Amino acid sequence: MSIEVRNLSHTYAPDTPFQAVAVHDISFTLGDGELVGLIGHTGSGKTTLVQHLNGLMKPTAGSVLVDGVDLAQKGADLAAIRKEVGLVFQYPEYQLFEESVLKDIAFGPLNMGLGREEAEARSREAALLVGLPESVLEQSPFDLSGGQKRRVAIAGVLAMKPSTLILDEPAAGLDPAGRREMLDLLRSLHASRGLTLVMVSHSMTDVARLCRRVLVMNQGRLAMDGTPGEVFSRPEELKSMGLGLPRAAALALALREAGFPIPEGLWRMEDVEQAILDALKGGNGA
Amino acid sequence: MKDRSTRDEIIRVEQVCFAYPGQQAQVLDAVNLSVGAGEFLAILGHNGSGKSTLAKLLNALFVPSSGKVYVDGIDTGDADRVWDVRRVCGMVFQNPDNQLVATVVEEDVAFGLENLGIPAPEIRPRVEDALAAVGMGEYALSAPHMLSGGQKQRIAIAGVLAMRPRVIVFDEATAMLDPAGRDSVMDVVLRLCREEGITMVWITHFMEEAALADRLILMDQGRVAMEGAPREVFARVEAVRALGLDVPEMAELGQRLNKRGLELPEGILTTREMVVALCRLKSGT
Repeated sequence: MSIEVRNLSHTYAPDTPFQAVAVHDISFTLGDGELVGLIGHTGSGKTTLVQHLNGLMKPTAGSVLVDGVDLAQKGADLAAIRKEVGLVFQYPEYQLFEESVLKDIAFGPLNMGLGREEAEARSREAALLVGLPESVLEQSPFDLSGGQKRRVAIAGVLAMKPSTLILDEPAAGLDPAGRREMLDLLRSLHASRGLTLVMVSHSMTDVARLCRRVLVMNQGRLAMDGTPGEVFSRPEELKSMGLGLPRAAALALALREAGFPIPEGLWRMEDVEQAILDALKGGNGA
Repeated sequence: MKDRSTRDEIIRVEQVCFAYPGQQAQVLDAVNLSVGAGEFLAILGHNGSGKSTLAKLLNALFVPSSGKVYVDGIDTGDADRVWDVRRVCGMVFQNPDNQLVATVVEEDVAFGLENLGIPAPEIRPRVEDALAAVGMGEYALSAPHMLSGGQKQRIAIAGVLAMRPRVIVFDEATAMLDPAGRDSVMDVVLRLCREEGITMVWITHFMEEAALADRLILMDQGRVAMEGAPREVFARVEAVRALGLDVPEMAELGQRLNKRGLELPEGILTTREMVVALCRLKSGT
């Protein structure tokens, strides 16, 4: 499935003293199976933008088309679209509420109108997919660790079998091991299920590790759209938007500025590591 | 940086155990800790390791099930002195939106002082000083909900500062901020520690922040599992990983490069240190 955003704008509280333009004239297309990072400082419009992608918000101007269907048009089947485009909010574990993990995951599928058996089967499958052990399924979700709770919330969306998964800051607040596991999980969901994945993040390093395309938002506009190599080769612009570089790219830049010979365009730590070794072995015969 | 042994002790945690009411599991298990006045102490640990519980024991939000916590010499278990403890030891939490109560920034900062019964003429200069100290003086009349996350956290810090505490405990205060917001909060906290001598207890999942502390303690299963200066602790990559934590990326890179035949000095934590060390190797000095 493809999602096409055409000249999308959204203004909060229009025609009042509190009017605020959250996103302005944004256009891009998400193709099938893409793995995209969406980056921008707080208040840059990322969350507003993603809430348009499954019709939770309606554009003030412009349109969002999912497989060619304009979400704003009369008769657009939003319920069907929300099955296809799953949205995982920030800190989704705060939305858990059921008495068992399994029931919490099954809430969405039941709401879709599936029978109890089918909903439960899908929930077990989704739990497996996010790496929740069988033993926790009958436990209260509130007894789980932060990382596990977040997996429950993601499983609840996956149980609806979306073809696109959009996650708003999925690694925020997790400890380092939890963060790494979350990125591994997203990578494997993309690889094994062919899901189209959009990850909203503050962490350039996480985006560099996971994504193949990076969208950068700044003050409500889409400031950049390219491969990680293209985006991370514009450090000055990123800095002016309050954003940094992934640590590997920052190191490469600092080395180059200090006169250490290192090629441009590197942003993966393993590539920078190799370039450092090459420079030292070539240079002083070590 | 002063050596800890020459500092006065401001916090003392003695054999503290803690279990939540009605629960068997010990969240903290015989923890001992001493914090020196003016020290920047970072506490690390995976989710559920007990670090937030420990933080809440430092300003009498919790009292130990057994053992003692002394803050500036005051026993936090002394019910009559709870407010003295909280005046000495302020706390800043993770979510800025849960900590701001007023509709105008300066009123929010004054809230704690009013609660303490500070006379009105004294409140205004204290609020102005506190806002200036966090670089938010020009926002005194703004509405908190119009500010960015980093600005809101700095307002929360100002609210604590206005009470003139000797210690501030931060429970993952940057977890919800973007990189610019995180830097702005970190700058303010480091400056207040170095220039004003306020003791900082900094709980975080970000190893790059922890690298800036004077000392780290790493919690695991309710105990202090490792302790030391960042350079010492982060040199032990495997041991840190085994606790579900990580080391700063430059520390890891340094170790990998050395395994592949370079001779970088131990204890590299920051990008700047890495650049200096590599340039030295390159020029052969």
